[in-house]
Amino acid sequence: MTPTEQPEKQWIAAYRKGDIDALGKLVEHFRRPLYAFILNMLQGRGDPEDVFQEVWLKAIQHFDRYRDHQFLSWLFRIAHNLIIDRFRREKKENRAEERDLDPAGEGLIASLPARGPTPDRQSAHADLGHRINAALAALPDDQREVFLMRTEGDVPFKEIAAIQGATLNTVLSRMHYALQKLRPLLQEEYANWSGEHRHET
Amino acid sequence: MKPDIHPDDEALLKATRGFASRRLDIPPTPRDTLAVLRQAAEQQRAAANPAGWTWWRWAVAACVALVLLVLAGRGWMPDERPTNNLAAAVVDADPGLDLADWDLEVDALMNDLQAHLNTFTGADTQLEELANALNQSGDTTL
Repeated sequence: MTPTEQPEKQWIAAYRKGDIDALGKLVEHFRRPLYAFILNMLQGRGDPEDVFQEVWLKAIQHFDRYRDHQFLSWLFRIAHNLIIDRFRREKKENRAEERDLDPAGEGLIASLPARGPTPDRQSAHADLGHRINAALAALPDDQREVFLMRTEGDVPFKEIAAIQGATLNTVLSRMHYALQKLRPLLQEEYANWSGEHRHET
Repeated sequence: MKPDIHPDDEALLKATRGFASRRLDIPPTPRDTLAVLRQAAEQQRAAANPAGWTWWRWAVAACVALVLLVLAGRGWMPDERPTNNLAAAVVDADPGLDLADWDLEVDALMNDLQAHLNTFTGADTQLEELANALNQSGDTTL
């Protein structure tokens, strides 16, 4: 059981009964994991605040479709679909612009923002947090998504498979590859974390 | 290769939950976002519950029905059954004619009719006798 389960159920029940204030509590409660997921999935290809709001608008619109599974994984599912739609739209628009403005396409592609951090930023980000962001950014979208859903929302692999429309084995493979690339950073993070906890106790 | 997550990986993942978000400087939800969401929730609620008025109508109708039921139970409602006086009046009503007299008149008419019919039978007999007499006399002029 995640520590977020208890209050979330109460607020969901309250919202269903007509308590609009409970919605604000839900938004705040899931702000951090959902925002981090969106931010890391967009990688500079859109405003995370816009997507965050859009996710909640969709959730409000289709609240009756939510059943009693993990609420955060439902939000991730909505975010996943919205981000995919955005990328598809963006791709289509870019193709149209390439055709209209630059038949060779080289100029425009070169001018598009890079998906990962720029070399300048990479050199400036020496601390662990920035290295983590850089490592996450370097992961392919599907691997990063599996990793984020698992670490930010504790979403079961089976559910991630359903969200991604992939088999369970594919999802496990994606997680495996993501872990291979992130393991040194994770271990460093884990060492810091456990060191802090030892210090506290 | 069999894709699998090593138990150590799971332990590492659990220990580093919120790995990506922990070091991010995430701002609180902007007030205007919360206002937009609140408004959307109120609109959604209003759209999803148009039966609210119907529910009130049903409640009012049920109350009115209950009040009428109570009034009827106390005898304050008009009774639509006929009273005893009216029932007696219906039984003793005079049709305004004597049916026995009518029966006598009909009998007299039937007797007259029978007498006339007998007269016609007698006439038939006389005609037959006349025809026989003519045949016997040989007069063929008729």
